[in-house]
Order: sequence, then C-alpha cells, then structure tokens
Amino acid sequence: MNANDPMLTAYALDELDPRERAQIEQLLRENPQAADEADDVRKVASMLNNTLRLEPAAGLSEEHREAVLRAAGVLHMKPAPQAVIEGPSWWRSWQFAATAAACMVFGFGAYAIFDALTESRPKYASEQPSKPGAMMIGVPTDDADTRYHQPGTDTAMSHPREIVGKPAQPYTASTDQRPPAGKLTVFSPAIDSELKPPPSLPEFPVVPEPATVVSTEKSPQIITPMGVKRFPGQQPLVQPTYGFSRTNAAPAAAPKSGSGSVSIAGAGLFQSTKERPVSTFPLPTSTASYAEVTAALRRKQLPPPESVRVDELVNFFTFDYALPVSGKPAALDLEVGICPWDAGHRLLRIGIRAKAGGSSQVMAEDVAMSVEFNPAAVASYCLIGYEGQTGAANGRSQTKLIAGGTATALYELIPAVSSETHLKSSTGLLTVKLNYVAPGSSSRRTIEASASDTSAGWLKTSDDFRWAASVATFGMLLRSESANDLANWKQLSQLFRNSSGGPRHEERTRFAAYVEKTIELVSARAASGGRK
Amino acid sequence: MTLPALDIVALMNRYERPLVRYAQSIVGELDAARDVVQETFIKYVRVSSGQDATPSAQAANDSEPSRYVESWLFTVARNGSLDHLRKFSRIIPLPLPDDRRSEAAGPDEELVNRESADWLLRLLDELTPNQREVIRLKFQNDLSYKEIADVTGLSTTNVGFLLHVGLKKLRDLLREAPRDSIPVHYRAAL
Repeated sequence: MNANDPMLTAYALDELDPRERAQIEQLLRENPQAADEADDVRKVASMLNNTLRLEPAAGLSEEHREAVLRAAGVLHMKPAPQAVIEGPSWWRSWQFAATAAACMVFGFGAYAIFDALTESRPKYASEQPSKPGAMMIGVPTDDADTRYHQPGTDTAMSHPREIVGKPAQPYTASTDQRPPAGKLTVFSPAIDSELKPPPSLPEFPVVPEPATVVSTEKSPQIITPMGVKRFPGQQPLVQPTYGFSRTNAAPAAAPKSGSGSVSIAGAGLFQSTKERPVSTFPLPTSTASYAEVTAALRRKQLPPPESVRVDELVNFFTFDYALPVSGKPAALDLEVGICPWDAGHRLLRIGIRAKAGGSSQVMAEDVAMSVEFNPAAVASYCLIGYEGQTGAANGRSQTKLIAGGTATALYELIPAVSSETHLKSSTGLLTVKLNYVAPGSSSRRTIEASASDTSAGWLKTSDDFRWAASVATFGMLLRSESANDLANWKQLSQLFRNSSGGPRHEERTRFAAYVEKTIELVSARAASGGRK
Repeated sequence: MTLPALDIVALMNRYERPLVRYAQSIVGELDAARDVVQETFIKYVRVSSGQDATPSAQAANDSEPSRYVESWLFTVARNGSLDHLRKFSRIIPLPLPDDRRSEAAGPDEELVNRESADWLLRLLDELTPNQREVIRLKFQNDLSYKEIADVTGLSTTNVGFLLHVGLKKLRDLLREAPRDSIPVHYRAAL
C-alpha cells in the first residue's frame, strides 16, 4: 500500500466493500504513514463537502416549474371560457372589507363550526368530496391571555374588546343537536386601524392558458356540533363529541373506536386522549398543493378546495428549528401556542430538523413519529391536514430523514377542563418521540422531547410558530365553507404579519403576496355576489 | 429496472437546485441550466409514466428507487447540458462569484461562507474539468463512485482514479497556498 493508491482514497471516502475495507485496514495498521494519508483525504473531503454543499444554487423559475407541472398533468387546466375575475383595486377592496366588517358582529374570541355529521357524510361524500365546514378566525392581536378561562378567573374581560354576538352553543355528545345554521362572524376592531393596502405586490402574470373554473355549485350546508369552543368568561369547556371529521375525510378513514392509533387515520378528527393517548403522524412527502394553489392564484382563480392540502402547504416552507446536538441525527423543536381559529384551543407545532450533512445523505431510516398526550392536561387532539390520506395506502409514506431537511406537523389541542392547575404546575402536556434506525445499524433508537404550555400569547410565539399557524389557517379557510367570508380573510391577513422570519425566508414574503391576492379574489367574488 | 413514478413536485423540490447548479457548472449560464433541468424533469415525467422509453444509455442500478432516480436525473441533466454546449458551442462564461448567492445563512455567516467558498472554488479551477466534475458529483451531491460512473459513463475505476488524483492535486495546492491567504475558516482544518 502506498500513498498513491486510489484504493486509499476510496477507503477514506468509504467506497470499499467490507472485504476490501478489512484488507486496507490491515495494511494501515502496518503503515502509519498511509493511515495519516487517509486522514488527510478525509479532511479535504469534509472541507469540500461542507463548502460545496453551501455553494449557492438557484432553482427553477416559476415558469420552468409550471412547464414541468403541465407536462405532468399536475396543473389541471380544464378548457373553459376565460373567466378572470376583475377585482377592485387594492384600496377599494380594503374599503369594501372595512365596510362589510363594520356591519358584522364584534367579538374577540374565535368561533368555529366544523363540518358534517358523521351520519350525513356518506350521503354527501360522493356529491362533494371536499365539502368544507364553516370556519371563523380570531386574530390574537396581542398577548392577552384568552385561554383556559374559568368563570370568575377571567382576565380577558377587562380587555377593551368585548364579545357581542352569540356565544358558542355548548354541545353535548348527542349527534342530532345541530348548531344554528347561520354563521357567526368575528371581527376585532382593534386591528382595523392597522389595515393598509400592502405597499407593493409582485406581478402575477396571467397564464395564457384556458382558465380553470372553480366549482360554482353551492354545496349543501352541513354543519355539525363539532365546534367546541370557549370564550373568555364563558362556561367551562364542554367535552367535544369525538370522531367527527371537520374536513370530510373519507368515512373509511374514520378511526374505529378501540383500535390502536394508527398512522394518519385520525387526521381531521378529534381524538380523546383518554381513549387514545398516543397519536402517530407521517413525515411529509409532498408539497404539491403549494404549486397547485399558487398556480391557481396566478391565473386569478381561487384554488379549488380539494387542491388545498394544509400539511403540504405548511411543509413547503423551511423553518429555523434548533439543530440536533452532536451524535443525534435529528432534533425535535416543539412549541405550544394559541390556535388562530379557536382561541379556546391550543396549537402544537412539532418541528423536526435533520442534522446537516451531505446533501442527500440519509440521517435516519424507518422513522416513526408519535405524540403521547397527558390526558390530565389535554382532553383531545386533532392532527391538522392529511385529510383523507392514509400514508401507506397511497404509497407515499416517507420514512427517511434526509440531511438538512425540516418537517412540521401541527396538532390542535383542546385543553382538559382541569388543565389550569396542571399547566400552572408546568406538568408536561405531551411527549414527542422520533423512533428511528441509524443507517447501517440494526437497532432502533428514540429521540424524545416534551412540551409544556407556557401560555404564550400570539406575539410571544416564535416566527416559525406564527408562520406555520398562519399558513395552516390559510389552507383551512380555503377548504372551509367560510372561504367567502371577507372578515375572516381580513383577520388572516393580520396573522401573516410579524412572522416573516427575516430576509432568509424570501419564500414567506412571496407567499404573503399570494395571501393578499387571495383576499383580492375573495373580495371580487363577494362584490359580484358570492359563489355562483 | 423501470423508472419509478415519484411525486413530481416533491422530486422538483428536492432536486431542482442540485441539478441547476450541476447543469450550470457545465453550461455556464443560469437560464440555459434551468432550461436543461426543466427538460430533464419533463423527460422524467414522460419516461416514468411510460410515454417514453427509458434511455438505453442508462445503466440499470439495483440500489433503492430514489437513488436510482437521482442518478437518472443527473445523467439526463448532464446529457442535456452537453447537448446544449454542442448546439451553442461558444465560450462558456463562468459564473461570477457575485452571481452566487448563499442558500441559508445570516449576513455575517454568509460573508464568511462566501469568501471561503470562493477561495476553494478558485483552487478547484486549477483542476481538470473531469476532475472538477467528479468532485462536484461526489462532494456536492453525495453520489457514490458507482452512481458517478452511471452519470458520466466512466468506469468505476476511472471515477476512483479521477477523484484520487483530483484530491491529491487539491491537497498540494492547499499545502502550497501562503498561510495568510487561507480563510481562517479552513486553517484549523489543515
């Protein structure tokens, strides 16, 4: 063995098969000079790896991407007459929004009514596969703590905003008890003065292709007693009815009571922590929905609800999650904060960040993610997104963590009625586990992290939390029956402020412009008489 | 082995940057590199959906499907880049350092990274084009010897030799470099 043997380089770069490696290792024991040489090769290799990996890389332009998506048939362009909605100017649309909002009920807490009765679902499922429920968004405009209010302990009532309008109906488990069909609208006057037309919008080129016509048939209204919510000063939380889908997941996806919690079967459903303290969720595999949604908006169309997949939208973005400590392939970054569409609920953000390494290096294999909830603190939970999907069924389950990647999962949590004392004593809310096999190893290992709820208000949460929550709300609103409700969109626009993540997240700035574009289209549609 | 049909958007998200960077290292211009990569993905869509036959030049690879797709993409991007060069045979403008933008780093960190990277890239310019190419494929894109052989059409032994010689040359250049010209960043590593 001499220092000039390419085998030595191949050995240092881990390119030999086990037999060759054993041979070289034997030789290296006898030849310290060659061993030093191998070390030198590794040093240069690592320098190259670290540097070249960071060499700036431009991606495709939107036009290039679209050309590929069209070739793949992902951009579904139905031949149809050009039906471009001419929206009013920005300022006019905001004026319109303000006027419309002024007629609405003032309130602060969020109000949500979700989805179909289980019994009704099969009846409608075939007619309207993505039948959305009504949804209202509350913008937590400051750090006022609006959670876990027990009668007599309310602090938010001293806040200048007050709740007018109908309080939430306390629902029982009886499934035939429906909430009023009319919608309640939330509007917070405190934010009105902040509403300004955005300074500048990027150009949205009109794609010279036949436009897609968004489904125009008004869907049958199905509202279920799923909206379990609490306002400051209201009665304590009523336990929700479990097993309703808020997003019309296919009935087959509904979990069977008593069966073990499996994969994403529970997506879109609230699960009781007493029945199922452990939830599992898949690693994201696709961000296709982002391309579909933004392509529709560039054509001046509101994206069809079924093209909006919340988990894919959220996972399009990168997040600045904490890096793993040395020796671990990944780190978990957990955060619990206010839920923008229901002030009585909490939102759990689970961030996963794989160790930086070679650009396509597999850091962990056969990854299984799970969350174990503390039933004393969390009454029930609902995985956001993944509607109607089963990971294995569509062959898209992803079980590997690739170097440098991030993944995000969101859960909506309903606090246990007795949670206040537990939270104050900072009992953990939940534990997240990342179970994996290290490449080249056969034993399973687990990375664990626990989260407690610091009761942080909206602005005390991290940029990453606010961004993920805002994007999720955007997606849920587009899928919901309240997608036409300007006041909600106006609230949403507020959510997107202060979560841009700075100059490193250009994609967020771009997306914020898409959100404004959406609002413009909703305004135009409202002005022309709603969906027709 | 046929080309597995993976989610095209996920595939683009994953590979558009590495492929554009690689294509640009061959064709020079960003726009041309993007065109090449766009055609690469479109070809993938057609081949994986059975509309087109797998290119015969593609060596079968028995590793896992996603790795197979990866070397397939690099192969097609490389062939497309070389075609482009043949079609538009002219002097290749090298990307200027200023065109290079760091992916994800704060301003200070970015500056340090960029200075160090530029310094190293200048050293790489001293190597032969095929040494540079295998180094990029190996260290920038984490391809194995076998995968690099598939992409470039060289033998595995040839790839090993090019890498060996290229790295040796690079180490000589590093040793010869005046110490104060080496970015602080790297001094400790040497």
